[in-house]
Amino acid sequence: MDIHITDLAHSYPNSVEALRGVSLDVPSGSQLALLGQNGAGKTTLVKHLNGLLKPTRGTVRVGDWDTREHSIAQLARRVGFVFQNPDDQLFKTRVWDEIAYGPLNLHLTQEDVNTRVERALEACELGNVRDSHPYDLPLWQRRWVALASVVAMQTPIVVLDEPTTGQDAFGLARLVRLLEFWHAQGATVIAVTHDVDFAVEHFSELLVMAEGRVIARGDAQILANEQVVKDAALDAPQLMRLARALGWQVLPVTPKQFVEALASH
Amino acid sequence: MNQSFFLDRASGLQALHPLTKLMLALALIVTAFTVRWLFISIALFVCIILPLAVWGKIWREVLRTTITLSIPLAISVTLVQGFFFPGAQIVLWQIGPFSLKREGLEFAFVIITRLLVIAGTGLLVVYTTHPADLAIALVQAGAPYALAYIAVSAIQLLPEMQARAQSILNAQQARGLETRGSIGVRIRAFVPLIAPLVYGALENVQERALALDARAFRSTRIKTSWRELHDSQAQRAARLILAAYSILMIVYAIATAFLSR
Amino acid sequence: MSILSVRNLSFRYQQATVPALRDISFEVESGTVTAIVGANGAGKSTLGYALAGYIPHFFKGEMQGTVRVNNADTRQTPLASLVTQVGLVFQNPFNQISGAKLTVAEEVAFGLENLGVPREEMTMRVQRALELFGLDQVANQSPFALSGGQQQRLALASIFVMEPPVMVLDEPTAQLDPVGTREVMESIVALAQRGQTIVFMEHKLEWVARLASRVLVLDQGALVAIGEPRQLLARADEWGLNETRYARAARLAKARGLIAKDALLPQTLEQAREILDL
Repeated sequence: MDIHITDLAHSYPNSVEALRGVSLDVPSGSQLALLGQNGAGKTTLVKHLNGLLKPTRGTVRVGDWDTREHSIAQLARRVGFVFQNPDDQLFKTRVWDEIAYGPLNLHLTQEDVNTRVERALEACELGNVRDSHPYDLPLWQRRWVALASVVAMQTPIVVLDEPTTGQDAFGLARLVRLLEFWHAQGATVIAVTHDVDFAVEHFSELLVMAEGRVIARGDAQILANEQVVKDAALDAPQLMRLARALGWQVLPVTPKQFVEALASH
Repeated sequence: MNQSFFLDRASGLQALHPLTKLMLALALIVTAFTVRWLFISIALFVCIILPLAVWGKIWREVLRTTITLSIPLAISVTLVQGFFFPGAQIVLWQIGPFSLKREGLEFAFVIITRLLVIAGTGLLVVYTTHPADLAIALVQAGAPYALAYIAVSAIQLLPEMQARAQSILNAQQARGLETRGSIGVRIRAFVPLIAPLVYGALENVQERALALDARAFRSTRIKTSWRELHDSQAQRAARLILAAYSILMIVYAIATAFLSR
Repeated sequence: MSILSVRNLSFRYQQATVPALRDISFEVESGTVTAIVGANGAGKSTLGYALAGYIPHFFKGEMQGTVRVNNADTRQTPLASLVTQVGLVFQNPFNQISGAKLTVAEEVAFGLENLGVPREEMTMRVQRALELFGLDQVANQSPFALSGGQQQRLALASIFVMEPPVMVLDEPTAQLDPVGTREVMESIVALAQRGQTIVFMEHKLEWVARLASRVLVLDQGALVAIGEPRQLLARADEWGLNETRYARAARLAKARGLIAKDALLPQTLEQAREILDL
């Protein structure tokens, strides 16, 4: 399902202009990482995708729907949103019920719901806590329950808000497998993230925002541009910084690329 | 971001000890409820509360807030009491089967003006008292420290609770929760919206309690304060007089009510 | 004598079936910076609570072994006294704001008020803390108006001002963006330079390598390794830690024979440059 954003602007009630004219086309199946510091407009932008925010100016189309013409609950069928704080949504007394909540709202058959929940439990490695009370689990595991509830909704578009927060190596590996799962399903994934290294390794496309505008879009090499990195107050990926410090001309991004480049020096 | 109602303006009213202000508020409210004169409350509001607000340099805010708070109430109370006050005889205005009666209007007037006094005195205290000073004053008056802390911090943490409620609403809507529509829909929306708020509050409470302990909250040493609270003999005497006055008025009111049976 | 001494510490939370900490023993010397790393659920926070005395005084459960702070047994010492010895800073910046104070300066003073410190001394100590953590410009703002990084520095300042001999920081940058993370890490550097004894729990290994003189690795409640950061972090993948890209690239380079097999994996940019500039 494609996303078309045309000249989107958004001002909050306190008249802060969070978005100043963003135009963006995201074809179906894309995996996009949104980078930029706090206040750049990343979260404001993605909240327009499921109707949490409506444009002050411009349009947002999710597939054939103009988001202004549909409620948040309706858009939830097309856009799954994983919030930063899992505690904002957990309210059931069993993990299983929590994950089933979203699919049940979609009015599916009980059989469909069961299948989806089981698949989500497996993908998020929550099988052994399916009957636990979500609040008995530690915070990092509650994050996975929140992720699982969106996995179970099987929406064509998925938005992740800071998915790498508080994840250890196992969690990050599981997240990568989830991204691959979504990719295989043809789902569009948009992730807002601070973790530049994770973004360049697992997202084919990056979008850099600063002060309510998109200032760069492309693959990891856009971060080789020092002006972009400075304007967005980002850190360039670790290996890119190392390569630059070593005086290399071509700046690799991933460990593999780095080693290739090292071999040729 | 203003997290409390305190308006920091240099004035005599501000400089008064919080307990003095509380005593004054109490005396005014007691007067409004015990003096049997139709116009006592409005007189207190115009002759005492507003001048005090001017002295405190907060009269605009006090006026604005009391009016905003009281208008919707005033309208409904007037209509309800005006038309339906039991035992009323004197009709002032007839509309079809309904008649607006004088006794009802008088009763409404009393209720509304008493509310003005309560709101006015409440705002006088809250707008001119720094929350920390209020906490210190309560503790000096004998309230347990924890209680004073809760009273004061609840005010500041309220906006955060509101923001959290909004986040929860967003998160649940994003999972397909409908919040508009029939009563049934709204009732079903209740648990998904309230439960995270409660659970989250409980989680936070534990972490807050730990953080408070880390700041020696439960220390038994005599506490000092960063801010200086100014008091004087005159104020102490005034508080005693106001307290005595309030007690006498309450006794008088009870006695007269009792005797007129 | 060590400022912190942990002997055979085990702990199981009351509702849990599995112990959160298993037979942990180590010492912390005064003036050092110690990092505690481990996968999620390894017991880092639980160990932090035990060091600060919240276990056993706040959290119910079965505790075995001893924790001694300045030679005082935490089990025998009341919590009110322990919190002045070990200051604990938590992950969530917002939950550490008392809510009872209108300005940053008052917030920092809160702990000193509770300890009954005279106003003159309080003013001086608060000013010093505000300067050390770069908060003097925002001293009169509401704590709620600060950014995440500033709020976490406020938490650090509010504990530091109480002058605890040991400060324990539980994943202080977990909820911060890169700017906030750098601000807080730089504050920790400043603290370390003053000789503050610091124990901090952290996932970001690059900072661990930069700040810590010693690393403890926890795995499912047990202490599986203690040692020098660079040595230990080279085994990050054994314990589910997020190794830095420098280490990962060096690992691949070793496999390809591009750097010496016995070269120690770099954890920071500087360490990587050293190996590669040759």
